[in-house]
Amino acid sequence: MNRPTPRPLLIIGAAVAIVVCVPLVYLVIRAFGSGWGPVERVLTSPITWQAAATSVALAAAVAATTVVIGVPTAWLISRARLGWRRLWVVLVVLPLAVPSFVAAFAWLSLFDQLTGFWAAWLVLSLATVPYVILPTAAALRSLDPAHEEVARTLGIGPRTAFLRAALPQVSPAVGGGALLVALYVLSDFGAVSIFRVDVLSRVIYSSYRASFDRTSAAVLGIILALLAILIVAIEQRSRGRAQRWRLATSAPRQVPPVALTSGWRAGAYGLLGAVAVLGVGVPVAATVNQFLTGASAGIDWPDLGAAISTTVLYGVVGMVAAVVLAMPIGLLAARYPTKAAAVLERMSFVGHALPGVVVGLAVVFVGTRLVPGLYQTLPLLAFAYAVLFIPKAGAAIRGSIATVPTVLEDVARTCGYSPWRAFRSVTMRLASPGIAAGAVLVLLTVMKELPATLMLRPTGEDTLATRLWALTEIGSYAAAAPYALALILIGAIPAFFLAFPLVRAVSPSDSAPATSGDQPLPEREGVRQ
Amino acid sequence: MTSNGGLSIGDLVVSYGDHQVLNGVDLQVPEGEIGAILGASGSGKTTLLRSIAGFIRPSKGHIDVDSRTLVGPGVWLAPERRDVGLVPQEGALFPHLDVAGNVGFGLAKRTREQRAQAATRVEQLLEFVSLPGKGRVRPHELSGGMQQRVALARALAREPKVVLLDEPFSALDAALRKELRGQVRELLAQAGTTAILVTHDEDEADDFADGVHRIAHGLIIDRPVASRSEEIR
Repeated sequence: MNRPTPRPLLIIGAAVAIVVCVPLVYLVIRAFGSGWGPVERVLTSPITWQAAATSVALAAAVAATTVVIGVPTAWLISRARLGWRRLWVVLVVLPLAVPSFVAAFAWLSLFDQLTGFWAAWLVLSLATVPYVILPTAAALRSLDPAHEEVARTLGIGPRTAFLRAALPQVSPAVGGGALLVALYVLSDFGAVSIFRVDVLSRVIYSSYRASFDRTSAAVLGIILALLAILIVAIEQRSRGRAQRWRLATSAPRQVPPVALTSGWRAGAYGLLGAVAVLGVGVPVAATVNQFLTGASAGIDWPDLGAAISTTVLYGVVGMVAAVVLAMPIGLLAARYPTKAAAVLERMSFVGHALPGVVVGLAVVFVGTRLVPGLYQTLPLLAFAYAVLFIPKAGAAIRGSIATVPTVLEDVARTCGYSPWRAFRSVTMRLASPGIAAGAVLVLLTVMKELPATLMLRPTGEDTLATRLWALTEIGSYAAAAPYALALILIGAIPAFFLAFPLVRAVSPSDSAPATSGDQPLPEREGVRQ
Repeated sequence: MTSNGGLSIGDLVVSYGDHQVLNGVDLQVPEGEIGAILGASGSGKTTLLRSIAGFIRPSKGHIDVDSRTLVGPGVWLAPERRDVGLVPQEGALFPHLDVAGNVGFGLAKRTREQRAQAATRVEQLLEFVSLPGKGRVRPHELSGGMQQRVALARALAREPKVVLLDEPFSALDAALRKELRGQVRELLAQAGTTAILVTHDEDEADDFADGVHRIAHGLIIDRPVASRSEEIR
C-alpha cells in the first residue's frame, strides 16, 4: 500500500521535470521553425547518416570492449584473492579521473600517427571501462553466494556456476554500466575531435560554429538525442526482464575470496596492470612529459590557477544544482512510487539521453531567446549542468533513499519527531553516503565537461577543460600539458572517493599475498571457491 | 494516567478509494492491559495499528486514549503528538545509532540538563530491559531478542500512553519467541502501559494478551476472550 504523495512534493517534482524538458522542446521548435526545407536538406544528406552510423558503431564497439574488459576486472577486484587488492581497486577506477580528450591528447603526443575510428575506440574504451567495473563489482559483492553454492551441489564446476548462477544476476549492473559507456561515447566530443572521427557530436559542433543558421545543428542534435533515447529504451527493456528474476531481498553473506592457480594469477595481474597502465599510467606519463616540456616553455601560473578555481567552482555549482533539483524527483520515486512519479522521473531523465553538445545547443537557444540576460552566465550554465546530470544525481538519491525502510521514519514519528525532522535525522542520515557518492560523480563529470561549458561559459572565464581545448586547437600541446595534469590531479580526488566503498569492502585478509599456501586448482577449472 | 483511561476506538472506517479496509471497528482496551488484535493477512489489523499510530487518516470514527481524543470529528493528531510507542517487526532499530542513541532517540537533548536527564533515563531503561552496559553497542551486534528489547525500551522512553507492538516476535525462533514474550509482557506490566499486539498467531495472542480481539474483513468479529488477568483471578 503506497502512502499518499504529499502535494507540495509532487508540485515541486513536476516543476523540475517540466523545466528540465524545456531545452529539448525548444530544440525541436528551433529545428522545425524554418519549415520543412532545412530539415529535409539535413535528413537527405549522406554526411548525416554516415556520421550517425559512425556514432552508433563507435558506441557499440566501445561498450562491447568495456564489458569484455570490465566484467573480468570487476570479478578480480571483488572476488579473487590477490595481493594489494585495495591498491588494484583504486588503480582500475582511476581512469575516471582522466577526461577522454586528455587521454586522447596524451596518446597522440606519444604516437602522432594515431587517428581515426580505432584510435578513438582505444582511448574511449580505456577511459570508460570504470563505468562497467564499478557497478559490476558492487553487484558481485552484494550477490548471495547461496545461488552458486546450490549450483555446485547440482554437479556444476565453479566457473560454470559463476557464469550460470551469478553472472545473469549481475547482468543488470553490467548493462547499466555499458549503457553509461554507450551514452558517454555518443556524447563524447573531445576525443573524437582530436582523432578526427566524424561522429554526430563533432558534426553538430562544427555546424554550430560554422554558420549563423543553426537549424542544421538543431536537426542533427535531435537525431543524436533520438539515438541516445533509443539506447536508453533498449537498456531499460532488457533491465526490466532481468529484474524479474530477482527474488531474494535479504542481505547476503560475504563471499569468501577465490584463490587462483599461478597461471590464472599471472593473467589476472596482467589484466589489472593493463587497465591501470593504459588507462592511467600512459596518459599521466605522457602528460607529465609534456608538462616538463611546458615548464621549460614557461607556465602561465596565474592563468592555470584561475582555470583550476573556475573548474572547482563550476563543478561545485553544477553538483549542487543537479542534486538539489534531483532531490524531489528522487524522493518521489523512492517513497511514493506512483504512475505520476514514474512519469516525472522519466521526464527528468531526458538529460541521460542528451549529449552535452545537444544540451549546450538547446540551452544556447533557450538562453538567447527566452532569457537573453542570462546567456553566458553561471546560472544558465548551472542549469545546463543540471539538465545533463540530474539523472546521475537522481539515480543515487532514489537508490539510497529506497534502501532505508520507511518503518524507521514511522518509529521516529512516534518518538515525537515531525515529518521533516524524521526524514532529515533518519532517512537522509542513512541515505547520505549514497547521495554523496552520486554528488561526487556529478562533480567529477562537471569538472571534465567540455561542449556545454564551451558554448555557455561566461565570456572571459575558462575551466581547465576549455583552456586545454583552446590550446590544443592551436597546436600548443606543451602549453596545454599543465592544464591536463591539473585536471587529472583534481579529478583523482572524487575518483578515489568513488572507489572508497569498494576499497573498504576488501578486508585485509582478502588481500593475502599470492603465496598464501592455497592449493592450486586443476587447470580445467581455473578458479575455485 | 487518568482513571478513565485505556484505549477506546469507535466506528473506525478507513478507505483507499472505493476499497474499505476498516469497516467500523469498535475496540476497548482497559488501561494498563494488553489487547491482542488477531487476524489473517489482509484482515485490516496492520491498518488498524497504523491508524492508532497516526500514519493512516481514517475517514470516520474516533480513537481516544486516556480520555484524550486522537481522532474524532474535526480532530486528527499527527503521530508525534499522540503519545504512542511503536515496536515494529524486527525492531527497526536505527542502524546509524548505537543502543543508547536508539533508546534516547525521542528524548529532549537541547540543554545540558536535558542531556543528563536523557542519559539517566536511557540507563534506567537499559536496566529495565536487562541490557545494562550495552549503550555503546551497535544494533547489528545484538541478537534478535536483544534488538527487540532495545526497541521496547525506545518505545517506552517517552512514557507513552499506549505501546503498539506490530508482530514483534515474528522474526524469532520458537524458543526465543516464547521467552521474549514472557519478558516483554512482564516489562509492560511493570510499566503499567496499555498495549496493543497485532499478530496472526493465535497461541501468541492467547499467551501474551489480557484480551484477544479477532479481526476479519476490517471488522472486529467477536467479543474479547476473557482477559488473562481475569482468568488468573
